Amino acid sequence: MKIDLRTVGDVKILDCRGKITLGEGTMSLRTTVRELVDGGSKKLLLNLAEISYIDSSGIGELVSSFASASNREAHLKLLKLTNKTQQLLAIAKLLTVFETFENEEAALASFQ
Amino acid sequence: MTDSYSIMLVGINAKEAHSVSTQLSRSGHSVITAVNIEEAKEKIRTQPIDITYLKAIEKDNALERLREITGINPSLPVIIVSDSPTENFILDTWRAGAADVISLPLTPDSMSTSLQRIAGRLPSREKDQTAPTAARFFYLDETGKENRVAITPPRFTMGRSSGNNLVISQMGVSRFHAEVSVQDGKYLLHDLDSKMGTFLNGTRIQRAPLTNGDRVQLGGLHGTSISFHSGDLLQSLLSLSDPKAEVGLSLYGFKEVGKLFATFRALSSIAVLDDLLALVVDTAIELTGAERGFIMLKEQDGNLNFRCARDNNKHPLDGSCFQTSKRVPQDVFKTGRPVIIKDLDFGQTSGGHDFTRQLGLRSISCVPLRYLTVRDSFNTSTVARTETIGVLYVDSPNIGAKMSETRIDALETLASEAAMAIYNARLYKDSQDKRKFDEQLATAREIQQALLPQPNKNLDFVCACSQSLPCYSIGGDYFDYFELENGHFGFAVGDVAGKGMPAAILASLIQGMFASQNLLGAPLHSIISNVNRNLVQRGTGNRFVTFFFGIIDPEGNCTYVNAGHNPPFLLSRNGSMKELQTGGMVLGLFAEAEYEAGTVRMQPNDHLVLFTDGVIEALNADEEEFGLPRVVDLLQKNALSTAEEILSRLQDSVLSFSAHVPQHDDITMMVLGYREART
Repeated sequence: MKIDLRTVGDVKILDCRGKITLGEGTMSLRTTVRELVDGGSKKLLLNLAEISYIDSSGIGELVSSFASASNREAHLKLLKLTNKTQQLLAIAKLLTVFETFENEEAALASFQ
Repeated sequence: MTDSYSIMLVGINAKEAHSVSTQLSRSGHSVITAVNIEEAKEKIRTQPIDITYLKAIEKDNALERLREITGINPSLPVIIVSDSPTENFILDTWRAGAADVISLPLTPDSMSTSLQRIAGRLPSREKDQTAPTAARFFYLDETGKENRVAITPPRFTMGRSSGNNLVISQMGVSRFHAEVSVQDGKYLLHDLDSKMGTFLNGTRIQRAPLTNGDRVQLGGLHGTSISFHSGDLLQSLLSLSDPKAEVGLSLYGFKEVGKLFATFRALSSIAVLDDLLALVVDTAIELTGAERGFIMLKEQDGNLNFRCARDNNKHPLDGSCFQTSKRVPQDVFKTGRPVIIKDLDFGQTSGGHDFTRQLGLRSISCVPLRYLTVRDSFNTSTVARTETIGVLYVDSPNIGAKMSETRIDALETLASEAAMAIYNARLYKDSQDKRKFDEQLATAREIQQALLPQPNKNLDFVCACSQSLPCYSIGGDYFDYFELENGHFGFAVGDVAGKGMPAAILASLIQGMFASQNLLGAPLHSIISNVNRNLVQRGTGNRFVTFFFGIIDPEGNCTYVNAGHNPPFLLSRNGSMKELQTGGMVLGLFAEAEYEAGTVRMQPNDHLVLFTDGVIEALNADEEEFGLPRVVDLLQKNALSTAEEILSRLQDSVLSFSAHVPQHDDITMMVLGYREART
């Protein structure tokens, strides 16, 4: 997985591309989120539109990124979930945990 | 564990053989089958086989069949697969030379356990490939200086390109000119379709074995002459000091040669790093007549650290007494160039070393410990480079009058051989550590297997069967059955996110928590809430667990909680299916998560099918997932089958779908059939 970082106002947008599975890029997601939070960012938006593959370990990574952000009083929200991501979150009954958005403007507005 | 074997199954029925061989080939083994003993004997004679599994029933001349096989190849391990073997039978087969006895049916699990047991006794593959004795080429470089290079398996290439192990930039030499490979412990020289040819002792060759003392010329008979020497380095050096030899090394001092000779011998046999370092320092002190010496090695952080300090009576010294003369070793390490200072009071060494001189030191010799590393030599982007791993240092308060050129040569030679030996000793230690870890892993696996219940369980009103295939030796999936006090039947399937050791530890924790909660007789949803809170409190590092727990009563009512698990299916006889979803989110993330229980009514011969995501996410060679639709389709077609049949068809289907692809997640499935109680 590759992560491109954008900043819009005080929101950090992480554009994720590729696979989120155990051992493949998952460390970089966790590390990136932790570094941002450590650096004082409070508003993170994960853009998952370009995620080609995600499995249940990948869901674990989303959740642990979410949890580590929450623990530091930062907000992590999800943008443009793929069907697969949506399904897996639904099975794990975690959809309600995340705030998810279909379009970027709405997501950005929700942070304000 | 990393070895792969060629395994023959004799007389095993086709279905078992299929499921076993699917699993084995996924682990990298190759499997052949033989229908009867005659076919087996034929195959033993004609094919390489490492291990044989022979189905043999006691009354059916089992021992005779065993002897027929061991008669052909006495060293071939034969495992007897037998139907409930008696103690006497087992003893008899042992006496007749069987390596092991396991009972039918042959399952992937019993097979891999047995294989691990046997593999422990087989000679390791890596050792099996006869390691060649060390060998090297001697040659003259462009400046006319004598040089030698160790021939490193598996492939050693020579040519003009910088990607070669031995670079010869000279007319007539092709970019990749020739190669030395190792076969059955022997060195072979191949010409790599060079323009001007490769010559061995004056004859042009395409491919020829190399023997000690051979002369190799690249690019015609006037090309650079390289001589091949195998075996002990010092023997090569001595033979080369024969004045008739074209290439020689200027190493004459008899005593030094003798000392080095003995040390090199020892270097190759000492695997313990500290012993090795002590020997190198002692030898260096003796060669140079110094008073004391030490070795510093590069640690993981890139800094030099004292590893071994000795005096000239072969006693260890405390590294701290050298602290003040650290400058020289640091310089040598940085530049990779030896520093030999014969007399600090004179000549070139003014300035900078004043402090060292104040320590009363008059002579210092310090040489780098380095060896040559080469990566894939055909990839032109990689180049051979020397790796400096530390320094060898000796000093003395006496003027270094004894330090002849010969001795400096000898010291450098010692240092380069020592570097290689240190490198090997570290590799050896790594492999020892790995072996220890593998042993622990095998124990962990045994414990984990022992914690799981028997895969099949039959009560009056329910018949259950399960299968769990961990991705690694141990896994993060688990299943369990409970016979409750009121006569109801409880069952659970759990999946810890991730796999391998960390997941397995957590899976065992949950199994324990759950088993104890289950005894308290609380309502289902509060059991799950308790387990969840417990997990969250223990802070299991954001690892979560998907979990399904259900209880069936004799009337066919099934109460369940689904905590974020792939919904199991209730499969009716008519092929209709219902997903069991009621419950709550995955366990272990949020302490306040709430759970509710659902119920379904099972009719006689209905089945519940549970599985972990390893089933749905099993990948084939095209990276396609097995997927839910395949599961649904298979279940509908098997609505009238028994629980065991459904389980084995689902398993076969998943395993054959993902055949030849390494399993990437733990795979667990459970099928429960409900029937009306007979009473």
